[in-house]
Amino acid sequence: MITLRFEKQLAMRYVSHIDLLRHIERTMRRAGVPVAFSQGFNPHMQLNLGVPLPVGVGSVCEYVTVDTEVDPHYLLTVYNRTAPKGLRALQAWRTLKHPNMAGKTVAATYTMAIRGEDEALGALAKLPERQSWVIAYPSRKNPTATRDVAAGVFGIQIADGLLRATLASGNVTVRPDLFAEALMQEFGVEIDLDSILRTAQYVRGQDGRLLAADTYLSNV
Amino acid sequence: MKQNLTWKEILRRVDKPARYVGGELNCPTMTGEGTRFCLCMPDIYEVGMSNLGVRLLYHRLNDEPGVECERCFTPAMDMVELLRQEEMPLCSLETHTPLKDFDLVGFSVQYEMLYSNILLMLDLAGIPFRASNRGEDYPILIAGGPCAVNPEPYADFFDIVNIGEGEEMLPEITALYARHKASAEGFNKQRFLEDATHIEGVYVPALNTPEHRSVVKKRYLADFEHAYYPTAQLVANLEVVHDRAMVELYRGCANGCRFCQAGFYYRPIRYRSAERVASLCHGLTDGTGYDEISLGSLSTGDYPGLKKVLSTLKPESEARHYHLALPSMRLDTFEGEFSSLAKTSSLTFAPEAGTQRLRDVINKNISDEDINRSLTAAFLRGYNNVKLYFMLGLPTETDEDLMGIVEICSRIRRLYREATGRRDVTVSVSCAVLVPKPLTPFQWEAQIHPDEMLRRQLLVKNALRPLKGVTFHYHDNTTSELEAIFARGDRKLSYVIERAYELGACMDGWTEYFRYDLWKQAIRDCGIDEREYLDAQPLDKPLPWEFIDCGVTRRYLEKEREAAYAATPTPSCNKGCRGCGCQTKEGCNRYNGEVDA
Repeated sequence: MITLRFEKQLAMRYVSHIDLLRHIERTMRRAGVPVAFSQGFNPHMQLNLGVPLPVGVGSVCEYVTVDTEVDPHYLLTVYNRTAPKGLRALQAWRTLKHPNMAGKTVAATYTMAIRGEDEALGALAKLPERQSWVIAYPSRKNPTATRDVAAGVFGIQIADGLLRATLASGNVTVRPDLFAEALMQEFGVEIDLDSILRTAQYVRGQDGRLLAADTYLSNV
Repeated sequence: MKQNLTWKEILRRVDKPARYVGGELNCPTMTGEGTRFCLCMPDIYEVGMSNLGVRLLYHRLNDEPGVECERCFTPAMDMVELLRQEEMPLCSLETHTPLKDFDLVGFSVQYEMLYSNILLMLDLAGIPFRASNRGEDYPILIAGGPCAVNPEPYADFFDIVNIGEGEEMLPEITALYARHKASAEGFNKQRFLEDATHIEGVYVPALNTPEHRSVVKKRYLADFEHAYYPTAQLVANLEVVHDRAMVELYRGCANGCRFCQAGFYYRPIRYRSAERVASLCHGLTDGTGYDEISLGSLSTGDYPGLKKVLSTLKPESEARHYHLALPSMRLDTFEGEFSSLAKTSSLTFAPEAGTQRLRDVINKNISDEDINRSLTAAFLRGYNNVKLYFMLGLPTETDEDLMGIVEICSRIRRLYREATGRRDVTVSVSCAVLVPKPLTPFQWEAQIHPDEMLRRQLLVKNALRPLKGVTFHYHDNTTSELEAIFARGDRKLSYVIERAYELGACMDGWTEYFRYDLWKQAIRDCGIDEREYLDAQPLDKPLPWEFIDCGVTRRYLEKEREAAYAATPTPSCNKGCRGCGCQTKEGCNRYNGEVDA
């Protein structure tokens, strides 16, 4: 069992979760990596992705678990030899058991370019203290939906024109693009939606605190 | 109202933005230098990216020194609306360059219902529709693809139409373009087009008019075995219609079914050896990683090295977990062993007509015994799902022939019961409507009137109803009527296409957008009598496409037409040359690979 951390950038940002899985499967086939297949009438390659990223958002910390016996460094090398531009793998861990990234992940950090008055930025940084923060949360089914996301905003830091927000991501998710739009709406700041980048993901540690996924993977 | 959205903002608002950004696997890096070609397909990304011709020509041009080829497809309607609202021009996927800034723009025209989308794309690109209204500042517009059999309805929109296969023709055109561009006196469109007419297969509608005709000879690849074939092909960023790799086993077809345009247009028949096919499959797996490779041709079961290909690839396809798909199998060539080598979940066969008599008329050389034998073999192997394709509106068709379709379905149920003792077979029957196509022995036939067609469709539908497990699908006959008009159309029809587009017609291949009423109105507004195109064509009248020399002679088509009326089948070219006019000096039928025992 090997888990790869990979980026999702450039044109690949626009690739949906299900198509992403196809891309990784094809990359494994091109690379000739022996991956286990499921049994049954329609066998499929045993790959497990982490928590989906909204289409259009970039990332340097996506995870895929691959059921293979090859050496992690070998996998990293041959995967990158044939991976599409924008889906480069950055690190590989061999784990003893299945890390279940999709099920275990609870939060993610996103960075985004921000501009605004100091006063607005100061007010915005206090968001995690709020008990309630209702924002527009449109979906295809309900374009005028709203949601209270206060419980899902874990932390906000602003430095050098970069906002770093840690938001719920997993069973409960606060979408970073909708979060950013709400900030623009409420605080009158400017955020480059195109710059949103997922930079870290977390699971819940034994002490109840957020544990970086990379650390988690080193100990599974 | 214009909101001054940026391109990135537009991408955030549309469904499936991956359609518009390029950057797929194996997409070459562009520099914006050299001769810039934009390859377009007037259909959405998912359809355009499925097209083998587009994939082939894209890589062919990009491998040409000094040429950069980008792509553009018809945007989906949500994007069309945003582009119109924001007054943003239609751009290429790779470098987001407006179409009108390219040197050459090529359209692959696959079928008649795409004509309005050509205008939609030109309109979004800000390019005038008629070649005569485009000055030196606009790109050279080229059309190609299957609809070049009769390019007349859309000829006025293009500077060049490529008749036949483009793999050699397009690079010759780009090379000529580069020479003219670099010439001392500078580029002159008129001079370039005059020179282009010397390239075999090139038709320049402005210089070759119905009033002053010269013959254009169809272009084809003589050496198909060694023809260019990219293995590191584009892999789409979202699921497309045919999401798989494809290898052509051969071009052309030996069967000579009398309704089939492709069977005549792609002559002479040219094979690729089993060894070469297997090596291409190997390369495609390395280059694309697809989990399926389709072994395509007009009649895959007729390929002499099919078993050889399947058995050669079996170990590799098992080890690398991909499977081989065999489309276009003929009923008489289906053998159970193919199905065990290639994974298929259902059997698909095209008897095309319900009775032996009518199959003899259309030269679909399948007998009732073939049907019985092949299906029994398949049922014993565990298949319980059969798809059948038929055509309605064939010349000399009677109600008895239609009842023959029903008879075949009951027989399949009986055969299944006899073979397996069970009754759980499902039969899916699809009936298309014959459109008499140019370059076939039926090119003079009348298109059956939509009311009569509906009667025949309902007759079959009602007769199939009592049969358990049999489902029936039939084709909308209003679309077929328009296809028939444009298939045999002349240059007058370019005004109908323009008018229909002006009235709002586009995406006509999609039932949810197709507006028959708009086309009818456009035909009326242009003062066109549609009967001129739908009725039987007199034999002594020259047809609009007969200035094109596709190899097959008119005499041969006339002979085949008489044979059709006499219900006399013509055997396959494999059993001896029929002298259609396409035969090559070496013989068009040679297969140089290892032949199946």
